[in-house]
Amino acid sequence: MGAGIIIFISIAYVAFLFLIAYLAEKRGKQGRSLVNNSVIYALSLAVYCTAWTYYGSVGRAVTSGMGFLPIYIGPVIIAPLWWILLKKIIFISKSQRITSIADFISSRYGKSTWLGIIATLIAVFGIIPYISIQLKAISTSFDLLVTDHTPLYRHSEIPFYLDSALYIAIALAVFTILFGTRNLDPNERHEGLVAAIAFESVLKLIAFLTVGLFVTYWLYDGFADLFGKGMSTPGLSRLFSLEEAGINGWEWFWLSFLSMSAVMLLPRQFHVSVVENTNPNHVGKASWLFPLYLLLINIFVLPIAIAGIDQFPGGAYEPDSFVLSLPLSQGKDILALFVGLGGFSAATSMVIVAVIALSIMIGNNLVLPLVLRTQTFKGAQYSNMSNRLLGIRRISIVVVLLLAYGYFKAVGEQYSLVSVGLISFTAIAQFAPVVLGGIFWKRATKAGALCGMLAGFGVWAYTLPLPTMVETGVIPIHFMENGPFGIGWLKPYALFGLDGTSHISQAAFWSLLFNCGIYFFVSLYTSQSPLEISQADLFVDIYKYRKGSTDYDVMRRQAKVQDIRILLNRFLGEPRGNLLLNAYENNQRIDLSRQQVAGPDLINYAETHLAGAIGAASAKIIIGSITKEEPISLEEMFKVLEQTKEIIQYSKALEKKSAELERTTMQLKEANEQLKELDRLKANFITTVTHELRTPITSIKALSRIMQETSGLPEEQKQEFLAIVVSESERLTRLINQVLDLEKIQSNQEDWTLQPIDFAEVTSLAYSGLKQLMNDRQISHSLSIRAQPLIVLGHNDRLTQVVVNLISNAIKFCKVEEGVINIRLQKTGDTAVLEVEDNGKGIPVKDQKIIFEKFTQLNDEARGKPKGSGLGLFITHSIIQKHSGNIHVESGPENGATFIVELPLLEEAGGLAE
Amino acid sequence: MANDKTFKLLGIFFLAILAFNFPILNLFGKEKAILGIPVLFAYIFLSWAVVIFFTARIVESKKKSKTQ
Repeated sequence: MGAGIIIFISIAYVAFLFLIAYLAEKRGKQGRSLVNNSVIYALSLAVYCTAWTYYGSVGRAVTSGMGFLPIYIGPVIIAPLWWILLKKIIFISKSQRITSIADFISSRYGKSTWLGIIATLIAVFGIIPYISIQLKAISTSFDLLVTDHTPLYRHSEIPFYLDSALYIAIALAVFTILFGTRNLDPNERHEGLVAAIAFESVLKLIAFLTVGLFVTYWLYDGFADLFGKGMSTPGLSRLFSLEEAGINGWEWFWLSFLSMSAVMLLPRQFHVSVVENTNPNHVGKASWLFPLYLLLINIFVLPIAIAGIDQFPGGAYEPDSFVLSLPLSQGKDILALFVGLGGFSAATSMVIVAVIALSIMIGNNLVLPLVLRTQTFKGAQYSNMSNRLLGIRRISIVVVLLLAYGYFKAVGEQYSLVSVGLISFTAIAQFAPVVLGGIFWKRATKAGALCGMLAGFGVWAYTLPLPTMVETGVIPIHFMENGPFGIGWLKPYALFGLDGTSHISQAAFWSLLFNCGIYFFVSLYTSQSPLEISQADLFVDIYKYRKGSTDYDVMRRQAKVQDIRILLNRFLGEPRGNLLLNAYENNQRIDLSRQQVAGPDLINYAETHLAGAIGAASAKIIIGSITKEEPISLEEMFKVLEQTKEIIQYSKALEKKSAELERTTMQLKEANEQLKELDRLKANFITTVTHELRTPITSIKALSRIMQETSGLPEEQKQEFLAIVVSESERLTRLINQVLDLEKIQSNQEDWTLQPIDFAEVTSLAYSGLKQLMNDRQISHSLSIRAQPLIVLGHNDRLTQVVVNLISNAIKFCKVEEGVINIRLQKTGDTAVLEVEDNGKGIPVKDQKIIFEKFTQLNDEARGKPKGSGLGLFITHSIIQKHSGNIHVESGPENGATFIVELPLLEEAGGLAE
Repeated sequence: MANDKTFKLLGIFFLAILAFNFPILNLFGKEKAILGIPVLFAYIFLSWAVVIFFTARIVESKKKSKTQ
């Protein structure tokens, strides 16, 4: 086949891709996005399948049978977790406008510039071998289609200007620049690119299935026939058993682990799955459509490998090119061309996306931060930064592709596609600890991430790419065989004496062990800056922030509105900048032209949008150049915490207040109840008193009337009637006096000037006043005063009243005949104790309390009507209380009652009296 | 986020790790064939299909728990 035709078809194919991209972008602008579709999303993820899959898998299967599979098993294992993992990463990235995996890592660890640079370097150096194998695949398939057989020359032996691979690299660079750097999108979204990638994924799948079906069902009679041939051929049957093909569990595990991390963290995978994602819910469908795609593209690999071995027993073709050489050897040129086109699409899609992703990283996380460190961006010389940004990206695209070509020419050629690709996978796996830790472990620090990644990368560089340099002569051969300086345990392929496993699994083991271990321990022994803490919180708890849409206000910053306008215009172009500010004005309902100073809100808004164009770290620096930036210091953070604490305390105080209020309400309620009770008692009392008043009045009235109306009343009777009238009147007076007394005592109106008096004297005076009455009633009585004087602070008349009341009570209630009253006065400790004992009926225990209560009167049916008003004891009680003393009664039924009064003596009671 | 769907998907993930690694894989690493297809080949691709099937069922189940 002529080279001209193949070049023409390739160019036509590329033109067609541009057409697809153009149409997709046009539709996107009209709001009918083609790309906003979960199937397209899943297909774009299939950029995972590169020339490695397309050509390399067969090559790998020829030597190790099913050993090619872990690379696809890994993604199949991890895909069910995408709904959890990938979605979280997407949410985080969208909220932070993250543009690449390096940006993600830098942003998580406090928008660290250095971390961004390191991650970018790891990605670039890690991916270059990978890109080089795409160049190799395209150029060998080109050679094969043109010459019909594996070329006799090696690319490393011909001058570069005659080398087809160089021109392929240049063509790819041009192609990528046209695709990826036409304009600067603040979200780094390239709808056209995604559409083209999805189309390429369909094409490569159809092409591979076509060649698979051709080989299996046209060359042979189906799977059983092919496998039967394989199993009967000596030396081939080993391909169907993992152990015999040289794959052990350790190896298998590491390969699937590496591919697990690669399918999520490779810069191009991150780009299509996260940055280009239009809707996080597309992840769901992709998590089963993508494994299905992998299943389909892998099912014919082993049959093709067996067919290749069977068809070319002499090794006429490289196993890596069986896919193409099988149809070619059958003279199916058109089919071969189609298959070649499929391989071309597999390789180009990978190169384009990978290089675009790398160029974004190099621009945003490597070049810009270094440039920006030294400059402020207010000067007029940077009239249009967005063009400069695009320029940086274009240059990095060319540089990356030339580096890949250089690697291919120097070392890539003598290694198989898969072994070179795995070097890249191992490099990218170094991101796994910091990314996984980053989204689940808040404590992870920048220092931990930096040290961990550097250690992992160092071990990787030493154990994988370094040995491949041996053939170029950079590294002497004895270095590999004996270790550096003859130190055996430092041999790159058997580090620390670990041999017996493949280079990849030992490199993966050591690099990840160092990476994880150092990341973990350094994180534990270092602390985070305030910005790191807030970013960590945002990454780990993204769902919390999404729900509350809490805006992050970590930086207390101020800037001039005019400066922000200038910045946005420079980096995003004037139309875009104005659009953003107008949108902000509309959103916040403010007029920016009237404001001089922009608050943190607007600055954050500008920063996130700038971050979309130039990465988080760069945006932070640029915004920093125009703001008076005060990252929250620890003191301030404490202040915030304290404020929170104060608020908590305040709310606690409020709670206490409300509890108090409740208590007061309860007390009020109780008081109210008491008042009601009092009211009721008063009403009772009034009823009682009026009743008491009416009784004597009635009898006085009745007797007086009898005497008035009955003229002939004998003198004797008249005298008797008059005596009753007098006694009733006295009773009336007594009652009224008591009520008045009570009123006085209760209302504090009386002059309560207390003076030192001798209680013993008061008692004996009162006693002698009543002696006659007791003698009249034939009551035997006694008074024993055991200590004298008993000086108390008191009111002479009132205390006399107390003693009189008690004795009168005793007189009233003691037995009618043989009445006995004993009065004892003594000193107990610092109190004077007066006991008045009678031998009456006594007071039941249940009544002993209430007899002193206000307005109560013992009403006992059995005893008949009480002889007093019922106020005497209450008045007594009140008086005693006024003297800071107390009174109680001891009594058993039918045993008499003893009233006991205790009054504090003066020496001790000095301060207590009023 | 911790809902049934999450746990089901985690379950598939761990089952897939088991199914697609040694020592389970080695059980099928003998050269025998069923209907002319090597056992290991059939096992891997069938398990693969099973993982796809269950992931699809869980993810596409009418998102009733998603809105939690």
